[in-house]
Amino acid sequence: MRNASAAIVPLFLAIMLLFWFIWFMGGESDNLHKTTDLTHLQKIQDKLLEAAMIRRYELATHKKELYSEESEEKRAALDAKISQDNHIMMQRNKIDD
Amino acid sequence: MKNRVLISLSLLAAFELSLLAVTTETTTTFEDIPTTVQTDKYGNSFYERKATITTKNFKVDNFWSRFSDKADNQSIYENISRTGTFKITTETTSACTLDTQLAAQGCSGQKPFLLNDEVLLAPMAGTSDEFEVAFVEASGFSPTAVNSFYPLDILRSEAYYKEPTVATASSSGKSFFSFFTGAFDFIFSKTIGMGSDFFGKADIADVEYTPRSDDAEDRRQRYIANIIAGVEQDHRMTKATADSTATQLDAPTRLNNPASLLHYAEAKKSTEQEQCQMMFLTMSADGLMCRMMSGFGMDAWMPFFNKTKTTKMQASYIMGDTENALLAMTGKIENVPYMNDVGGDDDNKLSFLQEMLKPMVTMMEMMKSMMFGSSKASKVENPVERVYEFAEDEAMTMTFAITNDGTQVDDFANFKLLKLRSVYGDMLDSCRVHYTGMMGFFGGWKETFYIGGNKSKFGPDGKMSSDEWVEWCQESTGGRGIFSYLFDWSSGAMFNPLNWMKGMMDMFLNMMFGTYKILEIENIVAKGLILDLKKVNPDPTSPRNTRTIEVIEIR
Repeated sequence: MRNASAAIVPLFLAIMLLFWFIWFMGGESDNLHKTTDLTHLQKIQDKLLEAAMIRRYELATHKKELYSEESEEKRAALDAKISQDNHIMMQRNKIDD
Repeated sequence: MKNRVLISLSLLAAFELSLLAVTTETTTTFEDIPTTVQTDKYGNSFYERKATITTKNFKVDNFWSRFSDKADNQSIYENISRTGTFKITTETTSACTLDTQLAAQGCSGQKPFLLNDEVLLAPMAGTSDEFEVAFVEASGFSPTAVNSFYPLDILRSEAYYKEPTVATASSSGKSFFSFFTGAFDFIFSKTIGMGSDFFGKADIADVEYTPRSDDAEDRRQRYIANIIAGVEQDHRMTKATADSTATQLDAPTRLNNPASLLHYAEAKKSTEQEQCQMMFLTMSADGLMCRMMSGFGMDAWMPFFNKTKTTKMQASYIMGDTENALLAMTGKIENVPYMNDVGGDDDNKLSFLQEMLKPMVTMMEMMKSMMFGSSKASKVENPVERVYEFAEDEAMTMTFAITNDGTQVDDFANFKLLKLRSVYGDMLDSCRVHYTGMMGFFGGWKETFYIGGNKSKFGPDGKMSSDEWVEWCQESTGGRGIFSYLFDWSSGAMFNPLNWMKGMMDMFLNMMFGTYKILEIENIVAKGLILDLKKVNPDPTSPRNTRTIEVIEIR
């Protein structure tokens, strides 16, 4: 023991640092993952929002005979249909349950 | 040990199940319901609306949780939402969608046509949205006309038409051949006119034809381009509003600033070309040679010598251009070459055999008319109508400018072109006679030329009105044949020798002393163009239209 060198201390420190680094990277990886998923979600939302708007416009103008907008209920029903379509798209993207 | 593992696993499963019980769901909600389909200042319909998409309980699986107790298995975000305002514009671009090159250049559905707003108040009988409009030149604009459309001139860059190239004058080199060309020009040119009565120079009326200037040709090209490709994006007309400078439609003095009614009067006249054609040469009709040949009617007896007269249609070029451009366009859309129907002028070229038989045919014709008479020219021929119908779902959609008083664009309207009607009518307009004094040839020849309408009159006795003159011409065109004199049923008994004598006398008098001999009857062709239009809102799903989506705001 007498001959034991103090040089072992930085070695231990280095190993601890390594473990800390692994732990840190693990956490950051999760953060990155979350950010990626959220960004992805928002991109999908943007696209779906635009598509929903086009579809809503088409239903309102072109397919008037199928979907009239005379009453508030019918308009709400149209909106609900678009909402349901988007929900299905989200399920296909494995986001919605 | 085994138990502990099982318990911990089941606990974990229960925990996860409880997490899964929170379902992820996306809902979309719309706000600001637009009341009607709105139109922007270019006449395109648009739909502007705000919408929100919300994803509740968005779950992200964590990877590190498998190695660390501290980390969560799953992160759950309660509300992730995006709210955006979108503006969807539908533009009628029938042509642009066919030709991708045009779309890249940015063409629009606006066509260079102006409609009175009164037109929209008077739909065709039995319909509420179909209109019948006739083409009227800009000079005939009337703020109260209920059934006409007018051409507009709208400036555009030179993307779709070529700048007219300056015609290079044929060089007259100093060669042997050019010497001969010059010599021929000299001999056959009209500058050698003798000015004497003998060749009938004095009364030849000059055909009114002013060649179109480069400027007019330029405008014409631009007009056609505007019909076919639509008014360019950069040069579109805008609706007049109270606070902005409206699209002014002024008289041609302020052309293209930025839009004006299109009227080029110099393009309205018919072109008439008279030529003498020999076997290898084509000479000026006013040349000495030609007049000598045709003056005494010798050309009818000479093979390979023809005096031809080409009269192009007396219709406004703008109308012709409008019709041709629309037919070309719809033809391209429907893959039907409508343009083949619109024939050109017939050349009436005789074949070799016909040329050889020409003297004989002339002889036969003379004998026939001598015996049986010849038919009269009718004053008004039956109008000919060509109708082109287009399938409604295939039809071209066009955006017309609507005006109240012709000074500014008040609105735009989109129409489908259902039918194009091209109407022709013939009318006896002028009549050319040879005047001979007493005793035929000895009195000398005098040629008179008359043009109907507002031109100066050359009646046989100088007193006739233009209508009377045309009437007279008509009466005198057809001649009575010998048989009609001999068997004049109306004058009594067929075998009455007195009648025979009278008939013979009439005939000889007419043949010998007939003071006016009609050389030529000319009909003008009047032409009209009528469009059947159906007012539509541009269909955003149709490939004929261009749909653009604009994100006004998203957050």
